Amino acid sequence: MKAEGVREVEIQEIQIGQEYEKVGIPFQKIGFWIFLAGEIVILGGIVASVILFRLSYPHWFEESVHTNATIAFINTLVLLTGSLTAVLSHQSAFSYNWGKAQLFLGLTALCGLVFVGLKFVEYSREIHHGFVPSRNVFWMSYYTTTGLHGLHVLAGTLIIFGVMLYIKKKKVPEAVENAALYWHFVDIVWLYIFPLFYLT
Amino acid sequence: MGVKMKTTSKGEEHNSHPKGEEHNSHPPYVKIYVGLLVLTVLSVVISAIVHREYAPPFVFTISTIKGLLIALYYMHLKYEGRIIISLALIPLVIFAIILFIFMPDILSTVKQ
Repeated sequence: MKAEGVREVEIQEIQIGQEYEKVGIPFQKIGFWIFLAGEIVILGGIVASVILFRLSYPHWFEESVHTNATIAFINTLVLLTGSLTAVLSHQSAFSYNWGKAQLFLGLTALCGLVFVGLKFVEYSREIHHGFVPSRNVFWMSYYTTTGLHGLHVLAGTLIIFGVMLYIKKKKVPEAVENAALYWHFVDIVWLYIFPLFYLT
Repeated sequence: MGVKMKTTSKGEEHNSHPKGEEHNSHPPYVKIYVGLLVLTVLSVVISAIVHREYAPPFVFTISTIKGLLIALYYMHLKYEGRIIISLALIPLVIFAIILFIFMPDILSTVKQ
């Protein structure tokens, strides 16, 4: 005979299953997109503020010529390559090709490490030349935005590395999907940061 | 858990692949990647030709096209239902409202 508590848990699980049937989307997916929506508000809000600064600060382009567009361009290519490997790992995971999924996740994590490493080199050179956050509005915005974005790339890299290890034990394609979604989101944010600080 | 999941021939659980997207018919990921690279080079070329002061409309339009390509094909929003698309769009709408509320004030400050 089953205990009363166990029976209650089973009833709750059936109810969750019925709710899922109504919505048609797994709850983990909705949950992850709610998390991403929060991230869009945080990073999007910062980028929106910087766009407003860009419009109100007439000397913006006089300062942006001092940023290292070459490193930023390479970093853009690195993030885009990471997006390709992330979506290929997603595809491989849903095709149950776990070896390929792990390989592509590893390449994505490598792209993340290259990005963070190049960002470190870029910051070192700028600080060495006296372009510090206290210099003016441009550099304050630059370090805040690219710093927060860089932390997100680092977090994404750690998440992808974690998922790479996780799927060795448990074959969960949704874990790969969520990690890839996070990477793509961070990539899209960079697509606006790159022209904002390096090209305009 | 009681969440119902589809079971494949390999006996593994599978429950969240975007609707309409079959395992054997994925978007052309590599072609999209090449397109993204070309657009990135184009934005750099434009910023080199057009003065930095006047470049924003061109380069941000290219960024938006690139962002849409990633969101629609790499994030599979093209194949998602209304709930997921709403979750992606609502913060963007809030972001746009905030931007347009402050825009007149910012632009009048620049004129002064």
